[in-house]
Amino acid sequence: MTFKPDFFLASLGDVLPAALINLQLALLAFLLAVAGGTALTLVRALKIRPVNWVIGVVISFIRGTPLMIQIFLFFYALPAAGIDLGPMTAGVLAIAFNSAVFITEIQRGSLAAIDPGQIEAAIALGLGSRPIWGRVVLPQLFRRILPMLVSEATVVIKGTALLSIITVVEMMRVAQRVGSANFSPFEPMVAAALGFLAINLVLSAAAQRLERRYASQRA
Amino acid sequence: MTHDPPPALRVQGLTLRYGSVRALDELYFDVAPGEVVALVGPSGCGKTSLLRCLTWLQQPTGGLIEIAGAPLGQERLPSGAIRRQSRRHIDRLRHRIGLVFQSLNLWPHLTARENVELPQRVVLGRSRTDARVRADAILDRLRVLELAEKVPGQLSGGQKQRVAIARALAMDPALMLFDEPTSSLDAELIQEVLSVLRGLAESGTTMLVVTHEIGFARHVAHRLLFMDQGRIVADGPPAQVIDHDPHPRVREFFDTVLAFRA
Ligand SMILES: Nc1ncnc2c1ncn2[C@@H]1O[C@H](COP(=O)(O)OP(=O)(O)O)[C@@H](O)[C@H]1O
Ligand SMILES: [Mg+2]
Repeated sequence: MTFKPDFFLASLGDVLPAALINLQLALLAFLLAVAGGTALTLVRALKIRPVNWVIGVVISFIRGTPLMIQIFLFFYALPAAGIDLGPMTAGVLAIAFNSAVFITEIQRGSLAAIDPGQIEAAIALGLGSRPIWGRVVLPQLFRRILPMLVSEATVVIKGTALLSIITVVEMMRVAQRVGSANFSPFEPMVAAALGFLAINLVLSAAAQRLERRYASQRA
Repeated sequence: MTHDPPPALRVQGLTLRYGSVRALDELYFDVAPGEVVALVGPSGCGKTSLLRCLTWLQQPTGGLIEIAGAPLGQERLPSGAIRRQSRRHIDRLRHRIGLVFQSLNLWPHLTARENVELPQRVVLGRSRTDARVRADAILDRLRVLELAEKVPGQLSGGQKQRVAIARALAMDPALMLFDEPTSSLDAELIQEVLSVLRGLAESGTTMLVVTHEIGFARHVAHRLLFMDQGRIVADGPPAQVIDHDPHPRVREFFDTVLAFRA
């Protein structure tokens, strides 16, 4: 197998524009995941036993099975249950659900590191649970977990490649098409890899700047 | 006909048990508006437990608490039955008692000014401008206005102490509670904080101060409560209790402390 530079350049032109689809899907999935994961964290903090037991079972299922299978389940099983979603919606929901579980686990870990004295101070001053979460706990929590959230975001971005298996036309799917049409899968695949890499590099550079800003602001 | 104002704090039969431990054993006392009360007693006698009950962070096993005439936590109905208040109701009363924790417990992600503004905005519904004006006035009075933009991690122990005091004072409490305000400070900072407390006392702030500083108790407080094993065993003018109270636990405590200073 030889690497054909001109075919590679041509593939870049075909494959990279589809990165926009991955970006959009990932952004949507990640926002849903952050909201859903935080909601799960809030519910779990209520410490209602049976509820937390159910959440625990769901968490271990999501953590213990491949994302690819979860995507298939959302795509094939939900319509069977009467909920018919297009491949894009099903795929975004599957990734969001998976990521929400990882985010709530990250949050739970960092929640334990917040000094309970601060919360007592808030209670003693008369703050209700809403402002305690919204103004005292969550802002600190998100600042603490920022690096882990960023790495979760890269997982989500890479995860969108899996949506090719349920017919979503994104970068990976385009690369496969270009590859099989030209009987040369290698070059377009490298092009897609570069697309994902570029997105993730930009993301982590942005995150580093953000972290440095926090660090210098609130040393 | 005129009525006396209600006491800033009224405690009737306050009891707290942890299992079989009686952390607070049927306490009865009032604190008058403007009064400065030193609360003294050996470690483990229940001082922190008392302050936690007075803010309802710890629900007492029994007894009644009134803040400036308003029952806190539970109230006696005309029928004589005791009714527990809702969390919302309690939250609305809590700012009437300003507690300065031993560990201060400032919010580390907010600046000093934001620490003082947040509860005013959220609990009292003050506007951004009003909260800021009030915060700055109090920070200025406590001589930490120039640190308003700093976060707690950038402040010294004494500075944090003042911000924590400001946060509670900004809520216009009927009573301020301090839990060993000098215990975590270096020797030179102790005097600084004591002078802040003296300033508050002189401006008429009602205070209940848990302290081991005999000088503060003697010279600033109007009254000294001595606790032992969950009970108040002495209650009187500070000098009187420190020098002459006959209770053996009181004598043991102060004679030891005074012997060390001599
Ligand atoms: N959360 C708790 N659980 C069980 N016992 C406690 C708890 N908090 C305090 N106590 C006990 O209650 C008593 C009073 O404690 P505390 O109020 O902290 O005393 P002080 O502040 O005077 O040192 C002590 O015997 C202590 O061991
Ligand atoms: Mg204590």
